[in-house]
Formats: sequence, structure tokens, C-alpha cells
Amino acid sequence: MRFSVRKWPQILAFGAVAATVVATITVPASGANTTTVNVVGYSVVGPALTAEETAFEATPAGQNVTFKNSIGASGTEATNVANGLPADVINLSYWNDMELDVQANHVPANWAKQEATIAGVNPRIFGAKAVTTYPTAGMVTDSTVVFIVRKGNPLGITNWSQLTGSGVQIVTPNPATSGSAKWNLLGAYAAWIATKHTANQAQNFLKSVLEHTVAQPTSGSAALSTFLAGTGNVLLDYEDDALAAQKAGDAIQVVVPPQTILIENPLALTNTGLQNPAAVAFYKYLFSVPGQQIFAGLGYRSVLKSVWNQTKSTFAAFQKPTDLLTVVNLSGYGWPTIQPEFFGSTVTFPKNNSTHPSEGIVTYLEQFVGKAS
Amino acid sequence: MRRSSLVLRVLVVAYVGALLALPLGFVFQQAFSHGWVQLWAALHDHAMDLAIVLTAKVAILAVPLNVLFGVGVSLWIVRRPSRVSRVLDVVIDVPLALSPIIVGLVLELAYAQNGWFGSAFAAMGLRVMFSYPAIVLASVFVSLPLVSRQVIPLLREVGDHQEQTAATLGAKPTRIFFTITMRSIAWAAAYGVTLTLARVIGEYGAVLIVSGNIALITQTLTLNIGANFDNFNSYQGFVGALLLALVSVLVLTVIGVSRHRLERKRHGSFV
Amino acid sequence: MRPLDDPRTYLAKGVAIGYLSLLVLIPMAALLNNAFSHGLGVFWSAATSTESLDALKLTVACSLFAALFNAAAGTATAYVLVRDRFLGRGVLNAIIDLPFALPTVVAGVTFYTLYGPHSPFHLNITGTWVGITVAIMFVTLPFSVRAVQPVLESLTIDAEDAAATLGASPWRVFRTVTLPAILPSLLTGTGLAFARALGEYGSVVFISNNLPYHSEVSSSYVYSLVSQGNDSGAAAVALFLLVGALAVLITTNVVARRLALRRG
Repeated sequence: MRFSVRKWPQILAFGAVAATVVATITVPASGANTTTVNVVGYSVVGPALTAEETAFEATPAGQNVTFKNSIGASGTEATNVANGLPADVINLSYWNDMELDVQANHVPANWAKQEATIAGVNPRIFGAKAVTTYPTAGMVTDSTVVFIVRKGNPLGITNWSQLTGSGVQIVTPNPATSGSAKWNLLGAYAAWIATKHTANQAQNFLKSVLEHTVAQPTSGSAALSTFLAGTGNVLLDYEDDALAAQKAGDAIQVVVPPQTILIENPLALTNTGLQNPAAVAFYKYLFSVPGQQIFAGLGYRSVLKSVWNQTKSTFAAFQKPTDLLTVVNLSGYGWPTIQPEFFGSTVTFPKNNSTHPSEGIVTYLEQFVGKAS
Repeated sequence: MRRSSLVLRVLVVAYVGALLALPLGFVFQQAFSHGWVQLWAALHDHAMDLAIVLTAKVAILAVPLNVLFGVGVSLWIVRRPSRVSRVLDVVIDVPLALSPIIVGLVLELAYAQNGWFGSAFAAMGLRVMFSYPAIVLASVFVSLPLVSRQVIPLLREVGDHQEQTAATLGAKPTRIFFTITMRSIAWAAAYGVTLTLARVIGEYGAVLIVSGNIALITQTLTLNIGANFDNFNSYQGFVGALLLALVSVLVLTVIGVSRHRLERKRHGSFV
Repeated sequence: MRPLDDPRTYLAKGVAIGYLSLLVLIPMAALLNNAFSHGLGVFWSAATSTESLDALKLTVACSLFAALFNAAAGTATAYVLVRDRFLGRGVLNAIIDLPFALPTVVAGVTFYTLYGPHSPFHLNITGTWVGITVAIMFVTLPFSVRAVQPVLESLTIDAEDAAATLGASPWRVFRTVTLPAILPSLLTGTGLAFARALGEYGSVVFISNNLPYHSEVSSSYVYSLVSQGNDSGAAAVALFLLVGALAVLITTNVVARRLALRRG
């Protein structure tokens, strides 16, 4: 192989310039007259959003619409949007992540009202009042915290109290990095409150659950992979994720505990999304009957009464309404108080109780993780 | 031609086999678990094809940039030592010591539209973060010292007598560089290139953050693989992984073979 | 020394510095700024919290062990690759860079399957420091091998042969002739491997089972701080790790340079 070394600098320089030019000027060509809608979603809802987009594109409002999806860990997506990731419609795991983008001035402060004012959904009735703001509005899907066990349920796990039995090994994601994990731990706490225990007793139960935890992967899907690879004998997860895993043929079984917490995932149009008619139309679609039916088919509990009545037979039922608690049941204001109380990084104790914090409960209890094994 | 003891050879093969060959074998096994036809179909998956093109576009820019910088900085550090070059020696290792999350965090801090430098770019109408430039930036960042770390020890070992001789004989600096210096470090630089290429196509964490992970637009092959694993599509993920592994192996094989041929032509046999 | 002082070298140096600034210096300045943005107190409490220290102890111990082990194993591998001729040598050489090319998420899943609860070898090292160390050894092997390989290749074996004919055992030959020649690059390669190991995330976090205070590595702790919105805490811990890694890198570089100067 012979080449003249004298020509090296020229060849290198030409090559570098050519590469830069080619690389930077090739932009993906968007078709003529298409509108782009930038969708940002948390990891679990990714496949559902894709299904919704495909269905939406078949409707008249969805003609010539191109979707750009960014799906990932809820917190990372929220931070990226705050730092400038283009977003028109955002669907996140829980309220706090949405608020991050409100504070960064990308999402309007009254985003929860969009459900009523834009999508025309009848506001939920709370007590005697119709409420159009958080904490009861702005949620596009519901789900619950369930157990995933090995096929055949060899340990016969059917409710929360059995999770702290001897030999039980729990897998749940790390609450510091995963929205799913936060819901899981709140589910444990809520179950104890629903069965008439005191707050202190519920904290003790949480401690016990953490003591029996053998793995705390960084995300819900990592936790599922860890469980499927053979670690632990019970995994805590979103019901819709669990049902999807079961459908995908994994050797698992879904157990819905008799008491648990209702998972509610917020959806909002951003400031740029509000200016984008296609994005607004997509938002409306997600709250419409066909949109909610798609969610229901993928394991989500619908937020529309009519669709819920149609599909509720495919979901496990709860004996009493008080068996399925919401964050509002745990604290009147919902996440704004729950977040610091459970997941805040500062741990504070009330005056005469040095073992049961009033703030930073999970942060405090994390030091006991894995102690039982 | 000396041979190392059989024991040593067996130990090395066993270690490298257990550590590297087994995982590679596992990836192969998973990718072929549904047969050739399925594999072929999987390779034509739209999302993965776009990801492959993006990864190639990133590598085309990032690898030559790193080679140019790496060789240049190595020459500076070894042949023209000074206080500045000593600081440089340390600074170029910094990216390697950072975990990918921090790399992503740090680049986002500096170049997001509300970041230090990013606001200046935004004012000019240029988007850096969550697009192709950010991916190139992150890729170059994480592979920064890979070429120089190969070249510097060799430059030190080889010394500069040949270059000095050539200079006294009247050769111009450029000519000396290309005919003597480059030749002596060619294979070290080549290994640096393979390491850089492997690192660039295989980087996950940092690119995940700075690219915004926009499906079909800013997803490199590693991100595509990650998304497939997340969506219960592990087969597709393993097919992508196989592709990455094969590229790295292929590049090294090409270098090994061409080197063997060149050496044979030059010396008659490899010493 | 490059003979004629070319004005072009100044341009080249300027370009190199500019490139480095854009790439490294500016983001590092942003890191420093962020780490101290809430004052020294927050910096210190984030870096020295119990969880941080537990993670640090685990990370440093496993990284050190892996780097040192790979220094020996990598040298042996490079030696066999360079000096030996056997069937499959080319294949061995070609897969050394695999840990770089394989995305960490794939490495994580693969290791978990091969050496986890469903291991075909009935070897479950998940959730243990052994598992973490093996994952780090996987990731850092290319550093050790490729650091030594070019130098070994450039060494003539005349000196080794001479020593051998004088009756020295292979190990003695290695110790007195080969090792001093490759020691500088071995040192820098090991330092680099250690620095890299400190920051390794993807392949380690999975096999460790990531239990805070028990099997959580520092990079995972940093990620948890970022996820909680505690950017400055994360920057603080990252800076802490970085300073430690730099200390090791500078030391190995200085020692390597002194050794090289003494020889040549």
C-alpha cells in the first residue's frame, strides 16, 4: 500500500472539512406542510404514547403531524425541558417533576386547569366542590402499586403484611432516582394507613419493607430486569408496567394487594405547546374517549368515567373505596406536602419523638435498607 | 522468536476469555437466538437504522478531531515540555475520571440555553444542547486522552534522535513530522484511534443526557439499544449490541492484518 | 526538540488551548461554580455524608483492587499478545477494546445473566464487592493492555535474549529487563484505569444491586443527588472524586516521567 506522505496534511484537512460540512448540513428533512409536536414522557408511558400518536395521526386533526418523542426517567426529562429540550406536551411520573418545569417557566402555573378548559373534561367532584386544579386535576392516567411475583406465586404473597415475612426479598427502585419507587413506598405506607394503623406504625412498616429490600436499582425498568434475572421474590411496580410485562410473556404473576395507593400521572401543554394547534389537538385526544380507551387497553386505569365503566372489569377491584388511597388522602395538599415529608433530603424530628421523623421519612429510613438480609 | 510459557498463555487466555469473550459470546447467542431471518429483519428496524447513521455521523467528526488534537498535544507535551504542557498533561486526563452522569451534567450546565456559554450561543440562534453538536461534544469529551495516552509513552521511549538527525540534514519540520515522527508513533496512534472509535460509538450515559434522547432524531445506537431494553425489546437491543461489538472487532482486525502485511513487506518477517 | 521554531506551532498551540477550553475548561469551571454555589458548608456536608462516605469506601477499594489486578493481568496479556505466536492471537487482540464499544447497559445485563442468580456457572456475585470489582476489571482491561502493548512492541528483544543466554530465568529477564522499560507506561495506564474506575456507572450499578450504604458506588450516589435536584451536592461529590483521581493521575505521571528520564 503506497501513498505519498506528503499529501497527508492536505488529505486530512480536506477530509475534516468535508466531514464537518456533510455532517452539519444534513438535517432530517421534514415533509412539506407538516407540523411537529414535541412530546416528552416518563419511561413507563413511552409505548402508550407511541400508540396514542399512531392512532391520532389517523384522525383528521392528526393529518400531517410529525411527532418527536423524548422518553426517559421522569426527573431527567423534567430537568432537560427546564434546560431547553423542545417540548409541547409533557407527561411525567408525578407532580413534583411537572412543577420543576413550571418554575423554569416552560409550563404555565395553572396547567392542571387545562384538563377542564382545553380538553373539556368534567372536573372531578371532591366533597361538594368541582375541582379543576391540582391535586385532583391534570392527571391523564391512573394506576396502582402492585406486586410482581414469580409465576405460580410460590411464597403465596397476597398482601403487604406478608412482604416482611422471613425469607421475603423485595426489589424496588431507589426512591432518590425513581418516581416509580416513590409511588411504591407511598403504596406501602398508604396500605398501613388504610388498615387503621397510626402514622408511627406505618413508618415502622416502611422501615421493615426497606430492611427486606435486597436491590434498589436506579429505575423501574432496571428493577424489572433485576427481578427477571432472578434476584428477590417480590417486585413493587406500576400496575400498567406489570401487566405489560406479563403480556410480553415474562414468567411472572401480577398480584394486586387489597389496599394500595392510586398512582396519578400529570399531563400538561407547555407554553410553546399552547401556541401549537396540533399539540393542543393531541392533548385533547389523550383525554378523549378513544384516547382513554387506548390507555385502558394498555393497562392504565382510565380517568374518564365512561371509559372506566367500560373497562373496569379487566382490572382488579377493591372492596372498599377507602382501600385505594390517593396522595390527597395521605395529606390534604397532596405532593407539595408529601414530597418534603417523605422524600425531602432534610430529616427533622418532632419534639418528643426521635425515631419517627416528621420530615424526610424515607431519607431517614434508607439507612436501614437491606438490614434484614 | 521467544515464546512465553504455556502456563502464562493459558492463564491469559482464560482470564480474557472469562472476562471478555464470555460476554461477547452471550451477546452473539442472544442476537442469533431467533435465527438469521429475524436477525436480518431486526437490522432493518427503522429506528435502529437512523441510530446507526447518527452514530456514524458522530464518529466521522469526533474521531478525527481527537486524533488531530491527541497527536498534536502529545508532541507538545513530550517534545516541548514547559509548565503549560505539564498542566495540559493533567487536564486532558480529567474527562476520563468523570462519571458519565457528571459529564452530562457539566456539559448541560455550560451549554444549555440557560447555561454559562449556552446563552451566548442561543443569542446567536445556535442550538447546542439536545442536538447533534452536543453529542459530538460529549463524545469528544469522554475520549479526549485516549490517543495521547497511547502516543506519549511511545514518543518518550523512542526519543527524537532521528528527527534531530533529519533536521541537521536540512529537512523541513513538516517533512520530518510526516516521514519520521508519524511513522514511529503510527501504530500507537492507530490503537488510540481504535480506542477512541470504540469509546465514541459505545458511550451511553453522557450522550443520554446531552442528546435529550429524542427518538429517531438524536438517538445514537447505544441510546437505541437502551430504549429497546426499556421497552421489553431486549432481542432488538442485543442485535444492536452485536453490531457495536463487531465494529470494534472489525476495526482491530483490519489494523492487525494491514500491520502484519506492512511489517512483512518491510522486514521480511516480524521480529 | 523540533528544530525550526515555526510560527505555525504557536497557531497550533493556540488552537489546542482553545479546543481544550471549549471542551474541558469551561465545563469544569461550571462544575466548580456549581459545587460551591451554596457555600462551603453544603459542599462539605454533601461530600462527607454517611451515604457518600460509604459509597466512597466501596468505590475506592474495588477500583484499587481492579486497577492493580489488571496492571498485572494486562501486562501478562500484552506480553502474550506481543511476544507470542499462537492460533487465536489475532482474535484475542481484536476483542481487547470490546469493553469500550459495548454500551454499559448491555454489559450490565450480560454480567447479571452470566454471573447472577441464573448463572450457567452457578456463580452469583451480584450485590457483592466481588461483582463490582469484576465489572470494573471488565471496563479497565483495555487501559492496562493498550498502555503496555505499544511499548513492548517497540522494545527490541535483543536485551532480553542476551539476558536469557546468560542464564537468567524468564521471570528474571522480565523483572530486570522488560519491566523497567514498560514501567512508566504501566504506571500511567494503571493510574488512568483507577481514575476511570472511580467514575464508572452503567456496568457497575446494575450488578451491585445498588443498595445505599451497602453496595452503592459513588457514581450512583452522584446520580441520586442529581435526580433529587441537588445539582450542587452532586457537583460537590463529583469534585471530591475528581480531585482524588487527579491526585493519583498526577502522581503516576510524575513518577512515570522521572523513570523514563532516568532510563533514556
